[in-house]
Amino acid sequence: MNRNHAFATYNEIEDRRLARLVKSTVRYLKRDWLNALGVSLVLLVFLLAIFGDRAAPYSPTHVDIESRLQPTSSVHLFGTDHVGRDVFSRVLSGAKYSIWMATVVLTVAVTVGIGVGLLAGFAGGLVGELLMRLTDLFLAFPGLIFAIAVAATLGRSLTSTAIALTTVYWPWYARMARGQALSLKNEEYVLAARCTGASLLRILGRHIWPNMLPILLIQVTLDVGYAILSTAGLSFLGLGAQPPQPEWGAMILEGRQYMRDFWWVATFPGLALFITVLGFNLLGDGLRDWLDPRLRKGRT
Amino acid sequence: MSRFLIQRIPLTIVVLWVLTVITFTLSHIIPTDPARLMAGPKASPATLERIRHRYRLDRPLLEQYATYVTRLFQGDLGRSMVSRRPVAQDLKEFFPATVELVLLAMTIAVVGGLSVGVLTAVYRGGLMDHLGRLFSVAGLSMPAFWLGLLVQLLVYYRLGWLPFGERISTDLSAFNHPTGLFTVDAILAGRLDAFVDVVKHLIMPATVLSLEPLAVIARLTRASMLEVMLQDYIRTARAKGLREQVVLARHALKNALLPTVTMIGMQIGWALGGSVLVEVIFNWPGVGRYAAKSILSADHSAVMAITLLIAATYLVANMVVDVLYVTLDPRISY
Amino acid sequence: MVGWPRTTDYHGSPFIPLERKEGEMRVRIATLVTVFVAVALLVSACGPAVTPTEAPEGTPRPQPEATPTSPVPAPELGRDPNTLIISTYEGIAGIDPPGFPSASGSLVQRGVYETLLTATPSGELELVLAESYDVNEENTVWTFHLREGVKFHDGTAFNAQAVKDNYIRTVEIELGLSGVIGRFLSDPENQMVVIDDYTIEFRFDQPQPFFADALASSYGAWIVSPTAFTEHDVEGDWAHDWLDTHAVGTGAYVLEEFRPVEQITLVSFDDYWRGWEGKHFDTVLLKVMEDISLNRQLLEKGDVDIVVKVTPEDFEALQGNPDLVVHQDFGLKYTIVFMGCYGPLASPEARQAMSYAFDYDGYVNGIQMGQVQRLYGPFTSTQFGYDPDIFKYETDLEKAAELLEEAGVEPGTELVWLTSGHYAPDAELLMQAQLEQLGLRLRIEKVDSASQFTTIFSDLPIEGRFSFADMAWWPDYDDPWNAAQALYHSENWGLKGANGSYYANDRADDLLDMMRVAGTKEEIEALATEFQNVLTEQDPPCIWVGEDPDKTIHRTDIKGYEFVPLYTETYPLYNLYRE
Repeated sequence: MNRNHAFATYNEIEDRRLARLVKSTVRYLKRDWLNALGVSLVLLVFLLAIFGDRAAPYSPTHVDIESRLQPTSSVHLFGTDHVGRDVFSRVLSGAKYSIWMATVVLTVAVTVGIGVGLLAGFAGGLVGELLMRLTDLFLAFPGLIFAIAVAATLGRSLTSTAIALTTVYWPWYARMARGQALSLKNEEYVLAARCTGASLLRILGRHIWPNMLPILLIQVTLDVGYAILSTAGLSFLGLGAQPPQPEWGAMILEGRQYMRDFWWVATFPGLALFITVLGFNLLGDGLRDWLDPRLRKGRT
Repeated sequence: MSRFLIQRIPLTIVVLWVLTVITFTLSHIIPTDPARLMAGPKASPATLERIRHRYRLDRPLLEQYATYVTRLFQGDLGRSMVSRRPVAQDLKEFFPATVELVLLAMTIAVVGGLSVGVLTAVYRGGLMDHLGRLFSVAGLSMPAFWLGLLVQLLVYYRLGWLPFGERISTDLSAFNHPTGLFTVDAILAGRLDAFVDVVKHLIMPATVLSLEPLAVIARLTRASMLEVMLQDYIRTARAKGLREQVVLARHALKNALLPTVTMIGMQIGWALGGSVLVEVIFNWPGVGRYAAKSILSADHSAVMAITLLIAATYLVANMVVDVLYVTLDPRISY
Repeated sequence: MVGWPRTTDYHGSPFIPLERKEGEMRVRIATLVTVFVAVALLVSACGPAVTPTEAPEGTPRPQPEATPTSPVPAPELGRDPNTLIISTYEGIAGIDPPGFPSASGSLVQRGVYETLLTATPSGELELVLAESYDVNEENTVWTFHLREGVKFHDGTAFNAQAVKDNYIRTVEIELGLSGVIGRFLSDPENQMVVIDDYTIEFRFDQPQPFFADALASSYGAWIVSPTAFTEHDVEGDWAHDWLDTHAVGTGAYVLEEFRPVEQITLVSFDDYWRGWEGKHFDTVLLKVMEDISLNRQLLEKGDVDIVVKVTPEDFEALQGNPDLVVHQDFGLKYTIVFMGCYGPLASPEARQAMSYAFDYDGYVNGIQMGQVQRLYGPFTSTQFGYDPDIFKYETDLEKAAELLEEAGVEPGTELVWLTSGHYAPDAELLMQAQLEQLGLRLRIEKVDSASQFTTIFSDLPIEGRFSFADMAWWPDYDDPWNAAQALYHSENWGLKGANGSYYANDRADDLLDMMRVAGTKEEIEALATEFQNVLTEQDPPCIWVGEDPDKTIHRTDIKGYEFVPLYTETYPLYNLYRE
């Protein structure tokens, strides 16, 4: 090490930290191609969610009866559906519904869930018990039934589905947060912090949150996949997206009766669903490996 | 332990009670008029009044709720508007169908999942591992209803190997069904032709339904095995000179199985609810399809009954498992 | 369920717990298996599961007669040739004759019940339970001489008193189809006179040219055993509940098993008055296949004998199949789109505009692949009273735009289309595209068919009502008044009838009232012509979409089928046989 390094500027140190981070990420991705695949798929879907409408060659709702049920061709990459709409354009435009739904549902679910869970864990006693029983109640309610009841009351729409899914997902985060709170409550550093008079908020922010973050991140990434599948499943039953929204689950419903001779109408939206969820699951797995040193040790 | 029970049982009952209130309320906010449904168009207003009175639909909500709960205790789950029969009778007919489907699906999932899990753990890092993990992740990511359609397209429409759905061919269904599980009943009745037919009908839906639990079990088994294989006692076993298979089977696998078994329990519960989409695709006459149809036809009694049934099963099963958990591990306190 | 299962373990942590006691694991496995099996057994042990063939109460299982074996058995038929399997697409609400009408229900009724008269393919009337009848000169007294030796399924004798009791019930029960006969019998007790055991008179104040046609209707005219509805009466409901799921008639078949969303089983009635000589089916199975896209494969494989409906694509594909007979017969069934005569479409001009806006070609030739015919007014071209010179709407967006301006409908107005995808599938998507070109927005509300039905025919306030709703309809018998009355008379709004559009046109009302009391068929025809003009050129309550043919498809070895326009989507089960 020559003398120049001894006088390295603040910027240089930061740059090197960034470079190291990038290098280790790249090395990590290269080591396991599955993770790379996951990341790329997720990026692709996010891009589609934002730019899908513009990238689509036709309008996803443009009806053209003359060209109904055309097979895949250079003019219609994924063929046309039963009223002549271009399936490729609809698939591209459909990405935003899935991403948007997952984002909204998980944001609310995580916020509410963690709030309730942390409160239950730290408060303990009667409050804690009551909150956990409330959580149990929501856990016990069959998700599908609830989704349908909401749809029947508020009308069938993605909004109803979002409400129903949020109600089903938050208890899991509450449980997780409570578990974290319980286990960390008595850790030395937390007790120490309390002794020195740190406010609850500070403890949460500096001690609890960083410990919870890895688990949370992994769980959310995996749950995005499930949320997307749930949305599609409910739309397939007719409860979520309504015509003419090009949501993937709804498209599979519409294409179902044409499977035999016009398989492309239902197949491509399903493929898009599969690839999207696969991407998120691979990403989640990769994150888990990356963030949990214990497990990483086991993979030589 | 007993303190735990005293806490848990009343809580479970409270939860169930709240459920009845919720389902009852929801189904009465829905604007479909059941009297109109029963009478059809062109019925006179007087007739509609008569129907409403007969079914006590003109009573105040609270009274209707009280009647509802009383009937529940008598085992009367109401009448389905769609099938025109008591819901309890419908459920009795459809529940075994779902049970049979889920049993086979879970068997496939457990056997397949354990195999894939063990193999990928043992051959970690190799091609087998990568393929196995890719397969597991794919299984988790697959929309079951889409896969079902594709499988139907291939196996039924194009190849004609298996029937498109339902439980049995129409003309073979006329024999006694004491248990409701067609496979068992066919054997009991000595009908080999019917047995083969039933199995053929079961294969596609059970396989499609098994995919997700299979993937979950495989992944969990793999991770669990990997953890266990790093333990000291495994090294000891190997140092003692035991053959690798013995090490794996007797020591590693047995211990690795525990979390998997926990997961299997949860998976069974979810598969019961998760069968909805698979049953719809394959026109399987089970509780899942019944639920979907009832809800989509605004058949309130059926919807409420199914909700309660599923929730109750889940709650009770969970409570039992919890009790045993607490009994066996004194470290855990609720 | 999709998405609900999670990879977290029981305690909510995604990481795996390490040490466990061996004994605990065994206990866990045992518990889980036990719980699951226990629940399963509990449910199935609580009474036997339904066996598909239960012995019917009272009626012994008939012994098959020496059924003549066909000279060359159909090659692919790997099942019982004496059983007829029909696939229908609609779950059945109930089969009590005056009750809720449905095509599938009528299919069952036609097998188990009979009427005094029946319609033939040519439209003439044929005698069934009546041996003969006379009408007096003024058309006010009808005397029926009934067939002797006929029995109901429960052994009750069929006679004049039974007919009278049955029709009193039909009228006084005041259900959906009571009006079919009720139109003529405002005082059933006194208007029907039992002369002797086998002679009955019907008396009217004014000539009733359509009375005989009504008696032949497959909706509301069936004759039920009085013993049955007296025995099973509950709190004065005339046994409606019981008869919705059971049937006791004089027909050739007995209802053995009624599972309205799965399968219905009919078995031949030993004491049927026509006897069982010749070729007939012993058993008829009615499968309810709501997903009609499955029917094609069932037909091709020989798993069903007759199919009521297939998708337009499948219909096209099956035309050339040598093992099947494909019918396309136009009867009295049609599809319309109700237009709400309130809100943005309150004025006749606005609704005329909508009638010009609809893409008829796209629907008829595109979605329905040319398999339906254009409908131009409230009556199909096969209906008595149809005016061949009727005013015809065709797609003309320019005219539509003009009329919209005249009507004062602002661009940007939102209209609502209520559909269940059942009657005019995808028509709403077509309309959405058309309306977009006219600067209007169409919101599509997709609901289940039960909800759609009750919403259309309900008293919900106007603010929440639809602008468009598709529906299929057909008359109970071939009479213009019967076909139009429920749908277009202003006294039949909401709960009172089937006027889903809330249509109220004074001239139309007057014409309908006159049709009701007209003495001759010629008078009625003239009134009908003007009526059709009011409902098309002047003030359309609906978009007239298409005439739906009966698209029955059956195997070539099924013989005896004849299409009767009045009895669309039903079959003369007794006349069918396999060869």
